[in-house]
Amino acid sequence: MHAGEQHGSGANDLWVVLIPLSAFALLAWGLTAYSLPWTFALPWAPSLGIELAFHIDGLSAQMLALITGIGVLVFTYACGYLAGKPRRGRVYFVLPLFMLAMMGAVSADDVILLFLFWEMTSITSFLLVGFNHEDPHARASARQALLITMGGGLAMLGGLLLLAQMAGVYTLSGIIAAAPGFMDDPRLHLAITLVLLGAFTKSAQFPFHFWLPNAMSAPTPVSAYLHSATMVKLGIYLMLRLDPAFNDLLFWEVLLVGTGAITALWASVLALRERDLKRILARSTVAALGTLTLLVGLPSPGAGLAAVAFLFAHAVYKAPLFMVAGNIDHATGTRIIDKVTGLRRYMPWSAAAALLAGLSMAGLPLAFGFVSKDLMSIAKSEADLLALLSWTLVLVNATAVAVAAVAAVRVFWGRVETPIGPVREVPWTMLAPPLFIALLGIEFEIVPHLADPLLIAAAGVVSPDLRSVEISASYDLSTLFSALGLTAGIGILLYIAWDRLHDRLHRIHWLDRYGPEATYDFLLHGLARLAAWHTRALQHGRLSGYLRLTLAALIAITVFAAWQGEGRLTVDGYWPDHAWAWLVACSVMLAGALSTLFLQDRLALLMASGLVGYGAALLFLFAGAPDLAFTQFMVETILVVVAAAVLPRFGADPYRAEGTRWGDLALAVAAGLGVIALLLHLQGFPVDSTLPEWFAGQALPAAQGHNVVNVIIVDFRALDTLGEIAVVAFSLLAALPLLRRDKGARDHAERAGNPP
Amino acid sequence: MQVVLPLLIPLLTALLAALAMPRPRLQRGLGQLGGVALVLSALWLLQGVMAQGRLSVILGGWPAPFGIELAADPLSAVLVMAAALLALAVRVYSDDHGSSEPTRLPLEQGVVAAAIAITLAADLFNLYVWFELMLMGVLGLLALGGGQRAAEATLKYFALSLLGTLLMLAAIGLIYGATGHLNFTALSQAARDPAIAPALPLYVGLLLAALLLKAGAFPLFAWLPASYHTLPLPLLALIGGLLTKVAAYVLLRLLGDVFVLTPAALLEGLGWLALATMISGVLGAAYHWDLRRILAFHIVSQIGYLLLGIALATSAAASATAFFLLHNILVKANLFLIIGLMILAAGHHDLRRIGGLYPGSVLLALLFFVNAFALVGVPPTTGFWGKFLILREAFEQGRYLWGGVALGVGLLTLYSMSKIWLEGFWKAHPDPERLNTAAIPLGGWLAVSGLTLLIVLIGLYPEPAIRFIDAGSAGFWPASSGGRP
Repeated sequence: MHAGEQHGSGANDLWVVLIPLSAFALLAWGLTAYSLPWTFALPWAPSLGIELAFHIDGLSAQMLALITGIGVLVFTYACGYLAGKPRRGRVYFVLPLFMLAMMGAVSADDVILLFLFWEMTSITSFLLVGFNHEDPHARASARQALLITMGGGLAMLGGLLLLAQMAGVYTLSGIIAAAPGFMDDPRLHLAITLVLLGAFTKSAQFPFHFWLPNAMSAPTPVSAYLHSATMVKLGIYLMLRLDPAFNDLLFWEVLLVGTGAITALWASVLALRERDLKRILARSTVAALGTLTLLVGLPSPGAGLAAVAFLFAHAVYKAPLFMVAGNIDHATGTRIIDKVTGLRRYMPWSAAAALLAGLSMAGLPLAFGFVSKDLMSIAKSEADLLALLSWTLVLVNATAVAVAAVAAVRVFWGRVETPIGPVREVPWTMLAPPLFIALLGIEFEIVPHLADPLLIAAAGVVSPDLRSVEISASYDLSTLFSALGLTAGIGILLYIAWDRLHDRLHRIHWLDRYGPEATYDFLLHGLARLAAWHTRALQHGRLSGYLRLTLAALIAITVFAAWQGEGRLTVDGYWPDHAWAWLVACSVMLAGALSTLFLQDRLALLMASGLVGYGAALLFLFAGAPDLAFTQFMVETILVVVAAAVLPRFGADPYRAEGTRWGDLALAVAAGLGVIALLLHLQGFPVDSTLPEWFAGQALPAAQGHNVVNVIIVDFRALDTLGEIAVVAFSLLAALPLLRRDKGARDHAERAGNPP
Repeated sequence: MQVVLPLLIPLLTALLAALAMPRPRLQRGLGQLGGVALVLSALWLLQGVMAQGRLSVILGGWPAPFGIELAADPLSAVLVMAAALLALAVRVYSDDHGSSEPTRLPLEQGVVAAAIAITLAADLFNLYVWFELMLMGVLGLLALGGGQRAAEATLKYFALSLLGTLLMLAAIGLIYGATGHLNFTALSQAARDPAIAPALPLYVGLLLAALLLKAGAFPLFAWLPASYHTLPLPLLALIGGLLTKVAAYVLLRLLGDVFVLTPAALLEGLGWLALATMISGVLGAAYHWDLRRILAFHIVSQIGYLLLGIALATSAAASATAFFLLHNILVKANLFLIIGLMILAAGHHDLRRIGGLYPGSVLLALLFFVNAFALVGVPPTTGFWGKFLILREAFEQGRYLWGGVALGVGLLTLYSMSKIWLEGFWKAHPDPERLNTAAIPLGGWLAVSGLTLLIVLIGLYPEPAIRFIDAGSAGFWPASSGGRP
């Protein structure tokens, strides 16, 4: 879409580089001026035991150096990549926020603070992945990454909370220190599983790995930064951080080594199925993350050092490879490896950067990757794990070699068959960063002690027992070269056979149909279907159904409550004076209620419902409340008269019931019996007459009223009356617009010559 | 005076506004004046409670269990404040746009008065009266919409809500019959009387059922999504923010502070009902494409969290519930206001027919983003603290499944919010000519930004709010171990 277009170098935007640069400078100055660890805490929510606690030790410092250092180069690269794009300002706004969140996440000691920054990285990443949001794929990918990483984050919150409760403290350092004390806690495995769910989703471990290749719809600087160098390492960081606490736990070890191995192998296989350069790199990143997880899980102290070194090395070689892939995309408009070849003629600098980074990646000597590969083999032998595991690593590394060859050799050095139109080298802002990082990798190899202090300090955090291992120690050359030779040999074979393997793997369609990604899609669609089924069943729009459900639920709750209480139904002990009148009143009410079931004429229905009111009034009359009775008579009469006057205007079609429903009958009978039972139940308890006695006693002397009821209404409980007056007033207000509208409609109808 | 003023001001505003119906400009001025006065009086109440603890007053001056008591403790004072702010925000928001029916302002103020009175009432029957007032006010506002759809919604709301109201009255009558009291303090003493206590679970259960209906709990929420979406938006924000929340508050107050001996099985049942409410609500939201219906269903889902907090039944859980309540009133109402702005700018309420708001207005996008994540419960927003407090208490009590479901529903909420973001903000507008962000009036921006600012501030530094609420909830469920580790 932007083939051949050039928008300049974007040098005008370079000011944003100042943000990571100053952070990096500050860090460098701090590291030289103050010794690690740095700890500080501010009160945040003291009543919850939560504070703004930061703890920066060797591991954090290494991550910080990566985040800010790679940040400088990625920001520079972004200026070139985004030059001339609309809305790039938003990237320059969100990218520093992301960097800040990363820095916070690796420095936080308080678990809530960690969670805050953790989620912030997910959210900023969502915005960055969705940069091309007019593209539905970009939207879907951004959402997929968000749902998976934030879902994992929520699980992690649960796990961290459990850990905090077991340890009695909300800081990571406190939890690690207290860990030996809760090793036998039954909640431990649940807590670890939940925390690891967070780490695994963030670091794209199987079966959550698929979001990472899909997130490649992000602009390339974002991929280079988030999806290779920093964000996906956050999960690894957390595992490294917690490793000292759970290192001896078999559960921890099995989970990490198992998941890591499966992830690494699976991703290596899938890398061969891709044709898109960026997706190939993403798959190989997943493989590297799997390797890292595996290394963290190995119990030997050397493994910790290996993991830390590999983490660093991976960032240093993968970021430039991504950038080169971005350059190719930028210059040619495609990333499909079949369409581009022989690019070295047009893009010599990109080719050089790719070659340097590729050398480092493949684990060949001369590059930093060498050291870490070496360490990985040490870790393997120390851990004395199954040979299977080493074979896994050999295979994974061989694929890495092949991927490096594809990215660095194939596209640049292959035969030029068909020229793909005018291709120009990208501006310097997109060349300097990958070249610089790749050179850095070489630099660290030639002068390894440059990185030593940082790595040793970081590894010391992970494996406190580690003292003697020297990173640039002399190694057993023969075993090393045999391992390397084997890896390189298989790697080259894979590279040569790439197209054939690809075709073979590409034809295995069940991988698309039944893999974890298909499961995600299935779940997402399943959610939509479930939601539709649920909502159509519950919210169908028919009032009668709502009433039925509501009434049934109310009855069920009442029955459940009755089951919890005590008391019995008391029938005896109360027989009113005018029993015959009560019977008459009740019969009237019953007659009214029952006849509404059978009547169809609206006027008759109205009369019948009026009977219910009259019956109630009769009841009041004989129960000693004549004033209430007369009010009721009056209200009922007015209602019937007014309604009868209005009714004819609604037309004369008879009311039709929905038909006989035995379920409804049962419901109605149950409700009625329930009310009777409630009243009989109440009779079993003594009457407390404090209130009525006081009201009766005080009405005349204190309130100067002879009628107790009136005094209660206008004085003792006047606030109720105020409320009721308001209710009446508001009902008038509520009716006003309806009346006015009705009148308007009638006028309109009359003007139109129709009878109302 | 401090306690009564927040009730009297909206009632008085309603009365004056009703008298000023023929003069719209005067009415509008009254509304603004009343809104500001209400916030000031709520502040005064807050300050009084902060200085003196529980404040109470009996209008008419009769001694305690005989007259009707209104009382404010930190919990109720915070809610009165939230309601007052919300009422003001709705005033600021709607003064600038929308046709104004003359009866709307009085009805609106009536609902506000009722909500505030419900939080202040310390008398069971008085409580009922205010619920009735609320019912009537909402009914009037629903009927304002006009047309077939509004009439249908009004009828459904009326029929179903009335069922709850009648049940509430019956339960109150039975409780009065058993205890001889209506005043909260007297009731809580009577409820501990061994002669009466055995009768109460049934009646309290009945009251619980009525309040669950009013709160919109599963499966009693049918009235809510059946009616809410027909309301004009600022009113939807007011009602969506207050109506169900005060019912949940009353549940908390009655179970935690008055009928504290409620059997554990009833609370256990409430907990499972809370889970069903959370899930059911969020599924409803996931189904819909109409912005208003999506948010209406989220009300239900969020009520689930409140019920869960109540079901946990300790003073720490009460504090968590109250904090969540405060958060939910502000955020839910604000989200309604925001979708109001979205509808104004994009021209429709159906997500399939709008889009392009992210490039259209970065401020609107930011406001939605913050509030959506507050609803999901991402730190540092109020939503995170609310959910965190409830989750922590659930785990503390070994309710891992309850806590787990609460977390999972957070993920589903995220799904639903991301749907709005993807369709409304990121997708290109299907009909770009209808996209007009300039249509958003200043009042709308002001109201929404103000509430958002408040949400962010409380989220960034929650300590004062937590401590204040803690002071109020300390006495809840006195039998529970309570407290925090």
